[in-house]
Amino acid sequence: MTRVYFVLGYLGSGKTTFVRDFLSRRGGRNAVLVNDFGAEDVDGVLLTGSAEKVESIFDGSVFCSCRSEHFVEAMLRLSQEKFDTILVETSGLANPFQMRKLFGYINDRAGNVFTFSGAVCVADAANLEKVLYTLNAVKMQIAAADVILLNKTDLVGEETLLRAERAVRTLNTDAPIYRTVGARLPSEEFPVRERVLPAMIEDITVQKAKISFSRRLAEDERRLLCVRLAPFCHRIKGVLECENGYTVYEFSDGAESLYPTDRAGNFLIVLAAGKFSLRKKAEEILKETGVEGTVC
Amino acid sequence: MGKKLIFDILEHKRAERPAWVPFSGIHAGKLTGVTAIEVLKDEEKLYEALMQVNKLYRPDGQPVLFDLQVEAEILGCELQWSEDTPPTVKTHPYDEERLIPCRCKMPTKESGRLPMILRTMERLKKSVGDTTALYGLVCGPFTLASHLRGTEIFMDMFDEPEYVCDLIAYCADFILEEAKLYVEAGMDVIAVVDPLVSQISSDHFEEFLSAPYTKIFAEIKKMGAYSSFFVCGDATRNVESMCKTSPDSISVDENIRIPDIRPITEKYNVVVGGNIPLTTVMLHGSQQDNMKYVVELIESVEDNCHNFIVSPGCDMPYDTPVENTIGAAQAVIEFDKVKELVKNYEGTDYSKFEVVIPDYANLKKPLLEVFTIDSSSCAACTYMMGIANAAKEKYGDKIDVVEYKFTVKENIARVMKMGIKQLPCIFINGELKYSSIIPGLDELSKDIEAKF
Repeated sequence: MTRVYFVLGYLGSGKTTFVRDFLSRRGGRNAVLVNDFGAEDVDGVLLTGSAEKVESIFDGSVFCSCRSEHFVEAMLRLSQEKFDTILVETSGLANPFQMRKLFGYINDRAGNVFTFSGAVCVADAANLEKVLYTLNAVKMQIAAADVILLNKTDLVGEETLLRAERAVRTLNTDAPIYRTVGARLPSEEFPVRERVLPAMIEDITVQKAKISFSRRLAEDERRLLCVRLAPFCHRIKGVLECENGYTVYEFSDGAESLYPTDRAGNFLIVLAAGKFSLRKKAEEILKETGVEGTVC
Repeated sequence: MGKKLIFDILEHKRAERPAWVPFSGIHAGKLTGVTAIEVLKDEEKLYEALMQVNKLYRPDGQPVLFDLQVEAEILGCELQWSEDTPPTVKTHPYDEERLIPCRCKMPTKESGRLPMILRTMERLKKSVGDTTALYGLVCGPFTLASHLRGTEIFMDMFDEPEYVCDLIAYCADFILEEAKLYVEAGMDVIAVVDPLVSQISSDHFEEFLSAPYTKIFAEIKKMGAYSSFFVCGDATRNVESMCKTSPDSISVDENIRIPDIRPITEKYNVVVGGNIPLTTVMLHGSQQDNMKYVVELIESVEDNCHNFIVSPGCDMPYDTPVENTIGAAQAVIEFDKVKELVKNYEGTDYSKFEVVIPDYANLKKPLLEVFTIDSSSCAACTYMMGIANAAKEKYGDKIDVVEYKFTVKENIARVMKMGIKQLPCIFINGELKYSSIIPGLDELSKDIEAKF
């Protein structure tokens, strides 16, 4: 039987680093199938030499997730070669649930020579919040994973890591989460389960609220408000009135950044993940801090 | 039927049957033996391939060119071409800086591949435009914006949403200019194809796409054309938001179950189209699998002669076997007969039929056996039988010609006994000579004369 792993994760999260490291510590005959949908075969080139066979496939447009004929054909070809392990490095925009379905179909056609050994999701700790906010595919990849590597942890603070872990847990309640720097999987022991897409995936992961202010906030009250909001929010950003006009304001990892803008406004947009009402929470914090604002 | 049927359905009238729109983009090239590159770049080859699609698949509606990179190419993206898939965008001109392209780059009749595309549209309109509704496809504004900006656009949605709105607004204006040219060239339906829509939440759809799409579909209506909104991937959550932008129809792929979204599309009185699976059914399935899938799909949709179009989930794979699409077409066009046929095929013990196979080695004259789904209704079968009849006319008593229709149980047994997988086909003296692709009389004559 050939063990097959799916390597999931958004572009730049460290999937290729994971594949190289994983294979460097593994004996036997190994193959990698890079399903990156992109025109530039960067990952395929980077992986050359890391396995007996590295095959890149392009199934059409980088943004088109419905084409899979080359993936199916490549897996059927590989099924003939009796590898010990095959790593399938998926596209950053892949739907892993659809891939699992296809894998079952492929395995039937190949005479059940494959055994699914798990889905490893590599997530870039620095941008996980952003991509979770914008991309359904990333939410699905987290939800479908049997083990999650929160990678590049050296580039972010503890607060961001905790928020990232919390966001992961809203999508996947049981897969082990490892904090990593070079996408090294500490243990290959993890349970492989049939996973299902959470029914309300976007509703439990993305909430947005706008807090509008009727007057210019003093520096202290602005900071106090954001410090109190931060543990619940992925992002605090907006346009605020300042002494000389308006400023784009962002609060991240305990630090404020401000730069001038011509755009008029006096509001903050806050984004959060979790099973709670962000609007209610923002109203509570406004009340506690005494900052006057309206949440909508 | 044909064009009128599509128009009736897009006008939300109750029709005789669901409409049939095969998305033969690059696959059209396979029918005439040319590559995806040729069919997407060469007017003559594209036109010939589309005429073949029209002839073999009997579409009620058909797209002219299925390539979501046409607009990106005009706006400065480099493409990487492939012989059996659509091209991919290789470079993103705004991946380093958040810029909006100049208005001077709005498309004209001379931009990029548009001259070739517009001429083909005009020719096809003249040839089949009276009977077939023609679809002009444009890349959706979100996917076009991501072609220009690359994957950074997903970070921008978080960091600089105003920029994303501006870029999408530009792309919406761009495709509206392109749509105007397509309508002038005779397109009846403008399909806006935006695969990336499935990647975002319904909140993001409302934030970034509701306004531009509402504008796009209102403008297409003003142009006097129908509109369609194509997505791929699991866009189930966005279907309601999509419907609210008021397209005449939406088209989805296998990731969405049509019965699941039908209550929503009906609530907004939007036609829904889809969704024969591209790889598992169309590419790798058998002809029977395709007929069965389409029969079950049609049966799964309530009130299926209203607001419903059967089509592949997206642009068909290049190598889709011709007979599979013929089978799918037949299932839409002759639903009752094919349903019966599928039932017979699956529910009958054919070993009890005594099929006598001719003694091919000792025939007195060449024997042409034409196996069809049904030459009275399946277009490809009609042509296949037509060419056999033409040979019979030419050679008279010197040859024998016999047709076996798959709609007759005894013939199903014969097809099984002979191991035939694809219909229509012609055997000469027991040897498979033509499968799905119809030969010319000269070619067929040579094969017959070789047996005299």
